[in-house]
Parts: sequence; structure tokens; C-alpha cells
Amino acid sequence: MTGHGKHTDRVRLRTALLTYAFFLGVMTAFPATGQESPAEQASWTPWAMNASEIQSTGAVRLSELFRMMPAVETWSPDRYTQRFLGTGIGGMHPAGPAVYLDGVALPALFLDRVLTESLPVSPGDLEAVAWLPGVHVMPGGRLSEGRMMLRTPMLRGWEASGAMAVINETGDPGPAKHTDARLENVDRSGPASWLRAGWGNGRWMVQAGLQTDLHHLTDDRISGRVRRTYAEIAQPVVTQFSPFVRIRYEGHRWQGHLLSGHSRRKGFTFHESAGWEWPSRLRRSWAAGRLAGRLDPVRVVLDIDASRLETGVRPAFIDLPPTISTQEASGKVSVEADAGWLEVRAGVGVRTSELSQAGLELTRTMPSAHLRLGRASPRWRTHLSVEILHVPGVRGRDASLSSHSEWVLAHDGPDGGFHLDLGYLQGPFPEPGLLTEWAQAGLDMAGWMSLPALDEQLSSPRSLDLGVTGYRAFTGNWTGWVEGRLRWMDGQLFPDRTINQPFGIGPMLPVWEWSSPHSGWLFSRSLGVQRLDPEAIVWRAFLQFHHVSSEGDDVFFRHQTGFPRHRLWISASEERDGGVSWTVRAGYLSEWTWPEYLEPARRSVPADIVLDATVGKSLFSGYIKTFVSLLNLPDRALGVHPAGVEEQLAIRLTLSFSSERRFSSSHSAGRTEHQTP
Amino acid sequence: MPITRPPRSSLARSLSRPVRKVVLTILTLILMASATDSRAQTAPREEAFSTLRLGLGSGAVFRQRGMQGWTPGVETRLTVDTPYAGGRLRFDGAYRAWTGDDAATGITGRDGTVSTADLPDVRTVDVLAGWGLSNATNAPISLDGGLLLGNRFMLFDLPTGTPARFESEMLVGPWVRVGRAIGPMRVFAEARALRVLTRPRWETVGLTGGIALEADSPRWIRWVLR
Repeated sequence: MTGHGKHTDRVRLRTALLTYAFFLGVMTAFPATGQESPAEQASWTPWAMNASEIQSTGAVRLSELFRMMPAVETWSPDRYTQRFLGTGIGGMHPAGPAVYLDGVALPALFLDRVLTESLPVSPGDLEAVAWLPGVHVMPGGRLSEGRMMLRTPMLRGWEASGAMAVINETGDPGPAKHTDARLENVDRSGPASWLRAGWGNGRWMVQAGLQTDLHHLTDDRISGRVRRTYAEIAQPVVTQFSPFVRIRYEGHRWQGHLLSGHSRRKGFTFHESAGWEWPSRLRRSWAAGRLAGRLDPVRVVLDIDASRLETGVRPAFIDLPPTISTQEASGKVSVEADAGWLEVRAGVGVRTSELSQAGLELTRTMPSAHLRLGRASPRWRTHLSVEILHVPGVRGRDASLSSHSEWVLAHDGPDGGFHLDLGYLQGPFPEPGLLTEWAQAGLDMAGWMSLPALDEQLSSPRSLDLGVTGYRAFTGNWTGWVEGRLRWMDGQLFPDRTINQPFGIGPMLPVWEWSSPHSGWLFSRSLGVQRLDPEAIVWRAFLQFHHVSSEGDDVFFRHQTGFPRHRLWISASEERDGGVSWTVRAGYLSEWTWPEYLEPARRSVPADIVLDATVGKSLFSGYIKTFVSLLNLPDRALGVHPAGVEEQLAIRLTLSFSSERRFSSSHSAGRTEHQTP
Repeated sequence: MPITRPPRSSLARSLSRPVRKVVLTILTLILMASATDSRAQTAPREEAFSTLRLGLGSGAVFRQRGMQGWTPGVETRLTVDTPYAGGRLRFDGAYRAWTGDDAATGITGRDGTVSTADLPDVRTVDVLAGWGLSNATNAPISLDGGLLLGNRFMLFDLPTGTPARFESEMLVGPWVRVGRAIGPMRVFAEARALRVLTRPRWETVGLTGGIALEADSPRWIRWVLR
């Protein structure tokens, strides 16, 4: 570390201590109760769904469910491999959400996106899902854009369950194929399935599971790109096979949860910076777990995870990247103590990562420290936390300290409340799944992508997040809410890309380079109402406006616009007697452009109207449930992305089963209470 | 050379005028069926899945669009419906053979003539489910109507392994049925306007006549459906 670096770190440390001292003073204004740690509590959020709502969607893939979450914006180059962008405030290419399953973080970042298909959970497992916006640091010092909190029930007795779905887009030529050989069939998907078998007694549970997926993409745009790259008679088919096991214990003093699995994906990998499909194979082995115990007077929490991912190639007309492998392992131990008027959590952790390819290697060992001070009463809750990550210097660069600090103040009353969070982020949080790391390691992308080197000193990005959510209950189970989120960003490193497609839609062939530093503002305002009456129709509606201020920074503007579209969403769902359920979701997204594209691809994309509907009926006294979903009812091209597919009316047929009569009316009625993880 | 697709159009706009008329007529009759349910105000709703009505019929297509080059044969249709949610839940299975004609391939020879080729015969099987309204199960004259949704499976008369030998696509459409009780049976005539959601669209309007029998549902069927 240079002398200048040491001085900068001392200044940062002094500033941070003064800030924490101030907030500590604020927190002493609230009475303490000695209840559970504030870390275990969560305030009200409008972005939550319960088991009944989740079930009524008929979704089989986790990505299908996330897509239905009102707050979540997605885009996909192939319709089925979704990329999730949170509420849109992170811009086009944020880190992706952190996914927590029953409190266990499941990091699965690869090439700037979260591999949701490989996660050991399906919509049918869930009793609640909630989206918590804002920058978040996962155990191991991994940065994420918001958190997706998933909760599953403890098993009682033996249980086997599963589901299978097929999606068929309409618009196949049918007999017309014999009169016009140019006509092609359109995309279809399935079977996508999941299976579970497990046993539990309310305290212990053991479960084995499997997810399989298959989708066949014949849309003109994507099959055209595939034909240009595959050197074999291959249709653009993606397959996924992901088995896993997990063991979980929920005792009075100890809780433990350990998961492990393996995932194989055969298909193609797409990245905006490449513009080509990469006929690829991905193999990912992973394990994650959490152990928490009450050792009076303290509580100890241990988070661990490890993963290994390896890429492979299939025959192609273009040179493809030689095998790339990433390995990560992290551990974090925290101790929580209740000092009467203040609850303190302190912890240390370390993450090691290795990114390698044919002799090239980028290894990092990053220790981190965590401090959290909290105070809670039945209605008020506040905490202040800071996470510091030491990023070692590599390839002649200086080591540096990165940090994320957050202050939260929440009030939850009987008729309403508010949630205020203020976060400050500075410095890089490197991960081998990020393209910036691939560029720093100097990986060879061959003919698939021209990856500019990232030789200069890493920029030190900073961002300040302010989020305020207020809600109030009205009569008839109606609740109204408002939310405002503001983000200031500075020192950002972005790809400066322009994509020229003079011959129409095809391989994007972007010309780009790394560009830094960039700064600007993002502002999101949301307004919504919801009616969460378990005995009646559940209604949700919200309106969201975005604003981007780049102050003349064109790269920032191009990077952040595209997704911040104004949005209006309305959804309704109901679970009726006789095991019938239905859900309808309608959305309007304002007109926009994809600014990275030059003319003629860069054009004004008309406003999108999305309309989906699902009807389900239980059979065999609740052991089986079938769903019919009509997706994209307007049957019109959605201009999601110039490289995306033409979405057409699609019909999804879903068949679910459970040995525990999960779909009987009485069982479902007991699961309709709305909860937030 | 990029393939250009025909411009998309909305469901209502792309319906040809005669088909649209038939659909509107059927929808009007469905509304009439619900309006003429005079007993519905006083009689208790039929217990769900308490009875099964099996119908067997045969019919013909009298108007079609989007299937030029094939001549439709006679259809055989099996229907099953049962009371549910104030109306009747219905399941259909139908089989029809289509004879392929000589059709223009679009290839013009040096002499300016357009070549033709035999189109393969095709057999179609429809599997449909839907829900509809009925004026009364035991009235002398019954009027039923509703909406069906399902899949059309197409098997072309081509050697095994030939590309595009098997196709399938969703289909949807309204139907209306008029019935007359004759002893334990009911004779019915049914009109249907079905749209197969292919591109280009494939629409048929058909008429089916047949007989239906009604009986109490076996206990196991009630258990499954409930």
C-alpha cells in the first residue's frame, strides 16, 4: 500500500467513526426491550407474496416467479433465462439480487447475472417471498442489488412433491409449413420440472431435490444468431439438470441449515458485450450453510459457502474461450450480544476466490469485518451497520479498503408505519463472476467477445442510497403506500458500448471499451395500494416513475437508461372453495429506447402492455393441482431488447403434486396469512 | 434475405368477417342461454360433478380460412360435460381427416408456369376443455353455450422421420348447442367457431349433430374432480 493510500484509509476510518458516534446517539432515543436481535426482524414491505399468491401463479421456475414479483424488472435474450434488475434503480447492469433461502445466502453470480435456474428452490417450495430493495452486502463481501428473501416450511413427516410445466407459444405455421418452407416453428419450453422427497419432524428436516429444464428457442432472432455460431446441426436448445440435498434444524438454542448441489447447463451463453451466442456447457458445484446458536449471553452465527464453476464449449464456427473456472469459498462468524440498551453484532469473515484459464490466474483473499449496532422496541427499530472488505492488490495495483454502511430506522404501528434507510458504498467488491474481474485477469475470450483489458488502477466507485417507504392501513383490508428511492453514483466504471446493426437485427458486434469515472443520479417514486384479505380477492396496484440525471455524462446516461421505465401494474388473485385459484396480472410500461444501439436498431420502442392470467384447479382431494396460464395475452411483439425474442401469446400447462394434500382448500386456507420474511 | 412475417393483428381484427359473424351469433346465443335460465333464480345450483353428460356426434366444416389446399373430411366428436361453478365444465375430443390437394408451390418455371405438388393428407385430433352456461339439464329444449380451449395435434401422411410430420398448436373458440330431449336421450345440434393459433391463422366454423346421454357421475370420478 502506498503512503497516500494509508492516509486516505485513516481519513475514511476517522469519518466513519464520527458518523457512527452520531447515529449511536440517535439510537439511544429508543427504548430497548431485550427481544430478539434486530437482524432477525424485518419491517413491512409492499414487495411480498405469500404461499397462496405464489401457488396461484402456476409458476414452476424460480425465474417465472421473480418475473411476477411486482417490483422486479427483467430482461432476457431468450425469454426463459431471465436477468433480474430489481426495481430498475440499479440501471441496466447492476450486480443482481442476493437470494436468501431461509436465511442462507445462495451466491450464484456468473458473467454479471445470477444463475437462478441452478438454485435449490422452486416456487412450489415457498411459503413466502419478499423483495427488499437497496444495495446489500452478502456474507463474504459480495455486493448485490437488493435481496430476494425466500422462505420454506419445515417438513413434518415424509413428503414428496413436484411439478412439471410446458409452455407453448402460439404462432407455429402448422399445415402452412408444407406450402411455404420458409416458415419456422416458434419457441417452446418444457418440460421444466422439479421434484422433492424429504422427511422432517418439525425440528429436523432432510430433503433431496432435482430441477430440470429444457427450452427450445426457434425465434428468428435467436436461431439466426445460433446458426451463425454453431458448427453442428444444432437447434438452440437449453437444458439444465440440478440435483441438491439439504438438511435443516430448528431448535430452541440452535438453528442450522446446510445445502449442497450440482448443476449442469448445456446451451448457450449470451452477453451484451459479445453479441454472439456462446455454445457452452456450465458445470457448477456448490455448498452453503448457516449455523446459529444461543450461547448465553451471546448468540453466535456462522455463514459458509463454497462453489466451483467450469465452462466448456461446443463445436462452433467462431473461436470460443478456453475453459474458464472460478472457485470461491467464504466463511463469516458473528457474535451478537444484548447490552441492555443496545444490541451489538460483530463479525469477521474471509473469502478466497480464484479465476483461472489456461495458465492465467487471478487469486484474491479478502478478509472482512462487520459491526452492527441495533436497538428495538415493539414498534420502533433502528440499526447501524458497517461492512469493511480488504481488497488485496493484484498485478501491481494497490490494496484498498471497500465499505458499505447502512442506517435503518423503522416504525411499524397498527395502522401504518415507515421505513427509512440510508446507505453509503465505496470501493470495489470484486467477484470472479463479474466481467470486470475477467478483464483484470486478462482472460482470453477468443472470437466470442473482444474484451478490452482493464489495466489501469481500479476506480473507486461510490454511491449513496436513500430509501423511504411509508404505508397506512385503510378500511376493508386496503393498505396504501408510497416509496421514494434516490441514488447518487460517482466514480463508476462502465462499459462504453455502441452497437451497430446496419443490416437489421443480428449479431450485435459491439465496439466497446472500459470507461471511468462516471457519475449521476437516479430517482424512483412509487405509489401503490393493496388489499390482502385472505377471504377475498387479493388486489395489488402500483405506479412507478423513474428519473435519471446524468449531468451531461453520456456514458452514464446510456448505461442507466433503458430500464427505468414508468410502470403501472395491477394484479388480482383469489383462492376459491373447491380448490380453484386464479390470478391476473396486467402491466403497462412506458415507451423507451435502448440507447446503446445506433440507427436503425436504435429506435423508439412502443409502450409495452403485459397481460397474463392463470387458472388452477386441485384434483384428487388436493394431492394434485393443474394450472392453465395464458402468458402475454395481447399477442404482440414486446420490444424488450433488439437482441431479444418476439414474445407471442403462450400457454403454459402446469401439473403439480404433493403427498401432503398441499392443494386442498382447507390446507391452502391455512397458508393464506400474509407474512414478510 | 431476412424472412419477413406478415404484420400482426389483434384477435378481433384478424377474424374474417363471416367467422366474426358466427362468433358474435354464438356469443349472443350463450347470453340468451344464461338469460333464459328461469329456474336459476329459484332452483338450487346443481351439485358440482354430480352428473355426467356424454355426447357423440359427427359434423362438417362449412367455412374455413387458412387451410387452403386441404379438403376437410367428416368429424367424429366425443364430448363430456358436468355441472360446475354455476355452469358446465366440458371436455372434448375430436378426430378429422383432411385430404391434401395439388397446391401451388410458388416456384415459377422458365416457361412461366407455377409448379404444383401433392400436399400430404393430414389427420387432426383436437383435445379441448372449457366451461359454459346451460339453461337447464332437464328442460325439454336445452340451450348451452361456452368457450373451449385446447390443442390440435396434426399428423401428416409422410414417412416416419420426415421433418414437420407432426405439428401441434393451441386452438380456442366459442360454441353453442341446442338440444331436444327424446326419452332418455337428447338430440343436439352444435355450432362451433374455432381458431387454431397458427401463423397464418387457421379458422373453421363447423356444425355437429349427435346424441347425448346423461347419468349420475361414478363416485370415483367425483372424488378425482373434487
